[in-house]
Amino acid sequence: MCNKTKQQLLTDINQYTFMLDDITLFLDTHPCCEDAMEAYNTYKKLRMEAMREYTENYGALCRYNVDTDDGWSYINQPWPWEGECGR
Amino acid sequence: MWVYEKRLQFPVNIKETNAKLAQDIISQYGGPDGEMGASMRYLSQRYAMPYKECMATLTDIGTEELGHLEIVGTIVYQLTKDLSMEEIKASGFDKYYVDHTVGIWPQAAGGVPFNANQFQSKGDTLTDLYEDMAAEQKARSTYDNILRLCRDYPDVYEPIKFLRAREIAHFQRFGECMRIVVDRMGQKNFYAMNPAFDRSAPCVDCKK
Repeated sequence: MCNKTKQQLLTDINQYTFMLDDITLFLDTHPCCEDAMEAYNTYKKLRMEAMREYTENYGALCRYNVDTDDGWSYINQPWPWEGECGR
Repeated sequence: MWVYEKRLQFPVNIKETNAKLAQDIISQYGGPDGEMGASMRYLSQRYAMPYKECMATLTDIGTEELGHLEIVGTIVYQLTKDLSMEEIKASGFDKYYVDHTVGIWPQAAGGVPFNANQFQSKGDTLTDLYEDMAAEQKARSTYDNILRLCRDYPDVYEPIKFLRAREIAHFQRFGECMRIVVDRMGQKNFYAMNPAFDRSAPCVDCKK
């Protein structure tokens, strides 16, 4: 079983992905920056791990990663505007 | 192609409804300097953009703006959830309510509907990048105005503060795009040519 709560993992995913959102914009205009690429690789790995852990334990955030052993669970996850995902 | 993730770029959990504030914040959904115009502007401009760094920047910032549109929509939705008829009438939300109930529709704070004339896709590289830099500043000013209106509502203030900070980061990136383009024009009068159209523009062959 997962030792992080759903909310902790979602916060991790949000934070790692935001780092990638910001770093990738920087890399678009600085495509040769080694430091930025190193940071990109660090957060890419952290995001992938957090995403995998979240999906395995709490369901898919993305319709391409659904495990159908529990049925079409995708629609049962709260939608982000419902205010549930921040709890 | 876009891939949707069921999460917000910045979380929004508003505990108290406030229909008055919702009417101000909806301007960043469909108003003149709002997120819908921002996303459509960048995603439309990228086709004519001849430089790969700038194509990437327009695509990625245009994508982030879609995420911001979702954050603003969420704020308005949560601020207007479970309103009573008394609150609707007292807050002045009745004018919006009569046409949209509590559905989310792109309009400015003054009720003016979203219109593609709120942005340009000129097909001139420098013209478009100047517009993009101005757009980021205008959106930042709008968020400054909203911050002054929601100082006492931390659930609203924090996501708006995040969105404001992104305008500044995007302005910086578009400034770098401008520099990349101008450097490649390689001549004294870089306004003489449009690298997105004039085949004689310098460096048009090394654009990819």
